[in-house]
Amino acid sequence: MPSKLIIMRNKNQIGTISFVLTILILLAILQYVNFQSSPEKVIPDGAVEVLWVNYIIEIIVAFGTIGLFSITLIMYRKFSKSEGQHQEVEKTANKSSLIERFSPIQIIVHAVTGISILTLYLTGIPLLYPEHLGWITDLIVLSRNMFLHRLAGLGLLSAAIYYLIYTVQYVKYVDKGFAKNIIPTLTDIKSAISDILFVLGKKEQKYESHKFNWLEKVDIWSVALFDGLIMCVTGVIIWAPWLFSSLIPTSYILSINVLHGGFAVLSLCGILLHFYVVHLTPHRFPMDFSIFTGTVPLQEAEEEYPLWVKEVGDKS
Amino acid sequence: MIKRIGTPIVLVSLLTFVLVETNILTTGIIITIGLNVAMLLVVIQILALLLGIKRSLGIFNKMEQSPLYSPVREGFIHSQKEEQ
Ligand code: HEM
Ligand code: HEM
Repeated sequence: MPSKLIIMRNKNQIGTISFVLTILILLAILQYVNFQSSPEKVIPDGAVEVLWVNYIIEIIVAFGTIGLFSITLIMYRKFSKSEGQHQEVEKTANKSSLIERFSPIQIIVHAVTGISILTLYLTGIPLLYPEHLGWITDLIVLSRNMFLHRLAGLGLLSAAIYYLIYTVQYVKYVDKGFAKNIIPTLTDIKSAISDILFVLGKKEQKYESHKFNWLEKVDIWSVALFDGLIMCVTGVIIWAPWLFSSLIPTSYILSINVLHGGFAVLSLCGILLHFYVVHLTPHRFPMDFSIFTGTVPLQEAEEEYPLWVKEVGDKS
Repeated sequence: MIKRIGTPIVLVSLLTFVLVETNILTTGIIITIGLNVAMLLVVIQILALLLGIKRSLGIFNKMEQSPLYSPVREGFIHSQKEEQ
């Protein structure tokens, strides 16, 4: 029972309030959209002029995939160069001393978002490449495929709305310093550059990280903005285009469809990078459970996020 | 060995998206394999996430049974025992 848990741990009503508000917003949305499962596309194909925006979207997506591929390569080189060092820490580490890193709410939101997004990939991406992945759509049957896509879309939407309401309240009433953990700073840019230089063969410049390092901040903001905002908004528009037809011309709705499809690819590439970092790097293989248990070994945290551990120590 | 197999798989599927989205190569068996590998990774992630959620539920269950339970405290007690 998540709601019971929320009250128990936080000793405040923020979780419950966010939950109720999310349900209300979802009910309002459900009034206007439907789970119609006809296999026909709602959006007409090629009936109207192609806007120049589409070319811009295509260019952004092309460069985006190149960027994400490069970051993955950089992380690969970085991890393989510093592998020996990690093995040393691993051998001597005391795995019993733990430090709390994620709250139960964050654990639940991560799980709901993760499952929803992965279902969205499985049901959405094959529509973009019918020639190569059509068998997946055939397997699920097109009409049920789109039904599943919309259901999972609602899952993502609810997680996004819930966490937004929750975070706003949390920052306002519980901990004003919460936002400080995730706001990008100049240090993040410096540490990203230092990582790139290290990979290129320059000497390693040790940087000390706060609670989240630069890549984790990129991860947080890209999921929040690209998946939580852009994919959800464009998803709802192409779900019920008739609601927006008086506001947005048809050709733009078509562009929004292109945007939805293009950013879906970017989102998948971003999560492949996330998957690489939390599963497949040698010192995390086969899987990093910290987001599920909420805790990390203290010694590892001291190694990876020294400033955060110091801050927590000072506070307590 | 098995630790290293993930890297080429992720890189291959990312490279496929680069090739397709930059229009360098959009058809052919290589792209089909690359895209299917990407979808395979998605399926593996779903399984991994379910495995992780199982562990979270175990912890939540313990918390519900005893409001004082916390993995950090349990770890602390454990490490004290180890020291003795
Ligand atoms: C099997 C699948 C997944 C596993 C095992 C996993 C694991 C993790 C772990 C261990 C962290 C904490 C990293 C840290 O110490 O800070 C994390 C963070 C995060 N995860 Fe996942 N994750 C998975 C899938 C996803 C998916 C599908 C999404 C997409 C929304 C996602 C979004 C995030 C975000 C935004 C963060 C916070 C930023 C960061 O720390 O990188 N995760 N995940
Ligand atoms: C990360 C999240 C998402 C991904 C990766 C994704 C992916 C996709 C893809 C690839 C398509 C096919 C586009 C095309 O045919 O050009 C699609 C269509 C669609 N998506 Fe999503 N989507 C996501 C989120 C959402 C959300 C949150 C909603 C709704 C709340 C949504 C609703 C729809 C609808 C209704 C269509 C069908 C449009 C049509 O009739 O062709 N999607 N999605």
